[in-house]
Amino acid sequence: MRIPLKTSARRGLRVIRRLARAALGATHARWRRSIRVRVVTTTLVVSAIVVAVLGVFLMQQITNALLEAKERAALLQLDDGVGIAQGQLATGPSDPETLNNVVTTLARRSGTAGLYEVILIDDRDPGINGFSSNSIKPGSVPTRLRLQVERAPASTPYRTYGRLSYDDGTSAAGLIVGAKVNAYQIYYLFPLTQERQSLVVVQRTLFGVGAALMLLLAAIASLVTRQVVIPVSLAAQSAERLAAGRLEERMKVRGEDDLARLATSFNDMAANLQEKIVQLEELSKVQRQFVSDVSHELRTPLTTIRIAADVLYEAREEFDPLTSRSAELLQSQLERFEGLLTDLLEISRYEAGAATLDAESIDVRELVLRAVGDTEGLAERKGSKIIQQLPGEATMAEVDRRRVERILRNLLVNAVEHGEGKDIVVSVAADRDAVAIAVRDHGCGLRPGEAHLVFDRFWRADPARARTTGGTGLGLSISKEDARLHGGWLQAWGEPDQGSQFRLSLPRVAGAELRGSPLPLVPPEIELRRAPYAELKLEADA
Amino acid sequence: MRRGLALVTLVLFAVTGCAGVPSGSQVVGGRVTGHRQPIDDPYVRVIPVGPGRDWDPGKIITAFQAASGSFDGPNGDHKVAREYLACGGCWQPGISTVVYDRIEQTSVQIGGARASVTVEVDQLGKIGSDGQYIADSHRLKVTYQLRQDAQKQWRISWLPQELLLSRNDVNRAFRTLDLYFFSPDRQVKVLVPNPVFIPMVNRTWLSQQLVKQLLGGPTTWLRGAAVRTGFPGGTQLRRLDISGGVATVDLSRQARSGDLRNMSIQLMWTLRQLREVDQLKLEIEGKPVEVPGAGGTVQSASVWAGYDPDGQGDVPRGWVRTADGRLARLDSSVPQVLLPKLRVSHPAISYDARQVAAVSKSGDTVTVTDMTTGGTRVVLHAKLAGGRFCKPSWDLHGNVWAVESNSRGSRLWEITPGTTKIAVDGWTLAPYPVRALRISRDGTRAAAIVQMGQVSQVQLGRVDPAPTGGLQAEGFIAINSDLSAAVDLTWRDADHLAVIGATDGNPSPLLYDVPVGGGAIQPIMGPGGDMKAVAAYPGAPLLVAQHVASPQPLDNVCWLSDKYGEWKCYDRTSAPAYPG
Repeated sequence: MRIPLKTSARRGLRVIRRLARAALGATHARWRRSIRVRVVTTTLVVSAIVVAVLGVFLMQQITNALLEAKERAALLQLDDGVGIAQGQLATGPSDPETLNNVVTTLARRSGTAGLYEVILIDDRDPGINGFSSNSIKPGSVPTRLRLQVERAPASTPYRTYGRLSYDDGTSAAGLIVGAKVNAYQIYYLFPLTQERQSLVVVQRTLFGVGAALMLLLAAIASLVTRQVVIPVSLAAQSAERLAAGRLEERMKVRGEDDLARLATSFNDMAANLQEKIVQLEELSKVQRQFVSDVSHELRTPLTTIRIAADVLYEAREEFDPLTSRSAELLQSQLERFEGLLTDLLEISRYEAGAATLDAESIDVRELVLRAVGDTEGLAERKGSKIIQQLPGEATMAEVDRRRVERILRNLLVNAVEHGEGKDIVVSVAADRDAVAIAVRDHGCGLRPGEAHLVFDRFWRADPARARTTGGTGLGLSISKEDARLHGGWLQAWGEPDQGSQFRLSLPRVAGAELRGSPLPLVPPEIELRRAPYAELKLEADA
Repeated sequence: MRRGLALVTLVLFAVTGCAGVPSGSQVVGGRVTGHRQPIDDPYVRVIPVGPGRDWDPGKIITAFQAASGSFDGPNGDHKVAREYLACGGCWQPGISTVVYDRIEQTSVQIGGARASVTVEVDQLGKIGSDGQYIADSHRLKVTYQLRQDAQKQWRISWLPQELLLSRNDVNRAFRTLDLYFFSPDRQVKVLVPNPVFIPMVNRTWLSQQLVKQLLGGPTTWLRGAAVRTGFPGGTQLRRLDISGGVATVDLSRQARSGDLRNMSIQLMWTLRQLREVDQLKLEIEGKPVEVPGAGGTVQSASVWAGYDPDGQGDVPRGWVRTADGRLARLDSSVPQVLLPKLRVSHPAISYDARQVAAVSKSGDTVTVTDMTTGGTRVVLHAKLAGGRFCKPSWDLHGNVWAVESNSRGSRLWEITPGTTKIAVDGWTLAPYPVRALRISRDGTRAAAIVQMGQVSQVQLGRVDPAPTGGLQAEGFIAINSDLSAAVDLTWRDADHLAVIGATDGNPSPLLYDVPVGGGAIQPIMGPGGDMKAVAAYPGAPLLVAQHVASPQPLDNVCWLSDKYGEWKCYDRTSAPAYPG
């Protein structure tokens, strides 16, 4: 029975803790996110401190003033009483009856409200120590005051604060004043009940006013912050829209205050930015147009040159060896020039935004086979063998045949070029949403950081190396654009002396978003080898 | 901005502080409601101290007597004074209190470890355990026995059980308050005050003691007058709480069988003497009860105002006798003679102001005149040899009371409305000449001036049913030892007399206010001259007849409208009278 109770209690505790944490989290989040919450909270805290300090100060002042007034009044009353007592005691013999009358007279002057009590101390009569009025206990006069009054010269008043105790067992804080008259001591005992009540009323009022003031200040702070925060959040909104490319976004300018200045300068900034961007856009359009035009214009003369070169090339047998070599060189460089021009045209088409996807449902394996067939000759020449790892069944995907073939050809040529005569592995895999084609070589690989650079235009792993093959330096760049047009990825991986792998991932349905790739970017054998011994390898390196 | 706000707050505080005291306003009237008892005055107590070291027996006795004037301790049981005793429990001063004027130690005898101290006091009177004061002036001798205790200190081993207090001690330590009971008359409900002395231990104790004594019934003396109480026998006070002007009286279950109205009336009239009580809440066994006619459980004093022992309604006119012996009413500045043919001396007006009883000029017959018809009939002739009637007195039922006195004694007569005269039996003052007799308005008490030897004393008696079936006046007690030569008296209200008299200290007659309870008498500033007679009625101006010798002999009746007013006189008038 105890354990379930305990567990349920623990569960309850956990729930409470979770709720508390959630509330704390929410508060913290609000605190971080809202300027208004921060300002209002700060105002509350600061005004609470100010009000508390002010309240304590005021309370002290009022208490002091009240007590001072009371003391002054008490001493005046005592002075008055001493005068009366002296008058009565001077005329007759000071028997108990006279003393009784003195005390009665003095006590009667206190009024029915019981402003003060009177104690007259007379040590000379046996059996009686003096007289007291009403129910005050004679012990209410503190010994310190009695000693002082006894020692002092006549009519010198002394005062002290103490507790007045009464016959019915009650007691109250009081002010006690005393003086010596002839051989007697007269004490006036003022209960401070009225003063205490007044102070309680003042204190309550101060509390109320302080709380009201704090709330008022918080409300004011909230209002003021609202006035500031709303334009600021509007500005933030405008800035966000501007950042999102809506260059025509402007802020409303209202009034002539700081916020209006902010809006004006924001608008100026936006206008300048827009102007600059439009300028740049136009400039780049002109450039693109120029490149496109140049490529086009170069084509016609190039065709003529090509025909002439073909003629020369066909007749090279008849030339002397030097001239024959020149004709061969001309032929090969012309081919390269033509390729470069084609690539440039393709790129300029991309940049002009004129590239369109001509998607059809195709078996990706077929594309791979064709691309491999195209490059097999080159590979043989380089001494490389292309190994294909294709899935058994058809791998259908909606792709642009031409572009994918171009990508694959580029990748294979690239692999053959950098394969150093070693095997090249082409693998294809598919899942429900995507297909992936990976081309793996075992050449010199890529240095760290180069995996991204390979797609840059005219980038070369070794700038000193001669262009031995017909690559224009634009192939991978175009391939990347082709992949992107499909909504797919083209990624590269490489490690020095481990070779490199390029992976093309494409969505099976054109236009669908790609979430993952069926093939790993890093070849499995590298990943497997690396994982368990990563630490060891690091140590060995060290 | 925040600092600015703080500044504004400070200024606001300062401004409101300045604006707190008005420097002008409407004129507002208001008076503190008056009370007749000086109970709201502050009281003064002695601070008693225990015995000092190595005091001799004489000093011990003096100090003990001084200290016993203090009712200290939780129930006023003289805690400090008991320190002088060898045995704390052997002294029970609740029995009675001897009030004395002067004290004298006549002898101190010391023999080894024992001593005796004799003191002689001039006793004025005694306060019984029920609070009733009886004046009894004589010289009293008291002897105290002392012995030395183990520390060689003298302590009192035997002492009289009564408490010996000086007049001043009594004035200081006791309060005279009235308990209210109903007169025996069942037709008219009139409250009779029963003054008692209660020690002022503290205010709470005083109020509780007051209610306890009320529940306990009237004092032994008044009990003889057959006054009635609304509280069933055995009713106890469970709790008395006074706060905010409301006195909550919780009675024990016996009170269920009593008449709630009567109990409320008695409680209210008794408690309203205390300054702090304005309203009454009656509870029985802790449960508030609703009293019929009181309007809710909390009754205000005004609900029972109709039972004022001083009576209610219009204040009657005063009457005087003009120089030519005719009866005149004091309507305006000139007394109005209503019956020109009527000649009276010592007139007494009935409560309904329709009849006047008077004594003939020779003083040996009493006549009653109907003032509407003018018909006069002689109702009484003196029976004693040389008997003379003093001024007759009416009661509420229309009876006339007349005392006939000669130098050796007196007889009391009662004349009922049917003109039959009855010589009242059980007239305890028969051996003494009586100079004045006034029946109280409630008809239960009679105040008289009795000639006892050289002293004419003010005495109070009760009127109660006689064994023969009529009424009798008996149980006369002296209420004051100071007045030794009283001339005339009248009831000022239900518990105060106005007396013209002389004291031992002051032989010329003055006007005094004498509480019937036995409290201290207070002189009233009189009109001067030789005062002969006095008449009073609650709420009406006091009338005093004076004789002025110069510039020419003249009898005047003077009146005092209120306490701080000035005496004004009607020239050539005498024998003032109010109904009663």
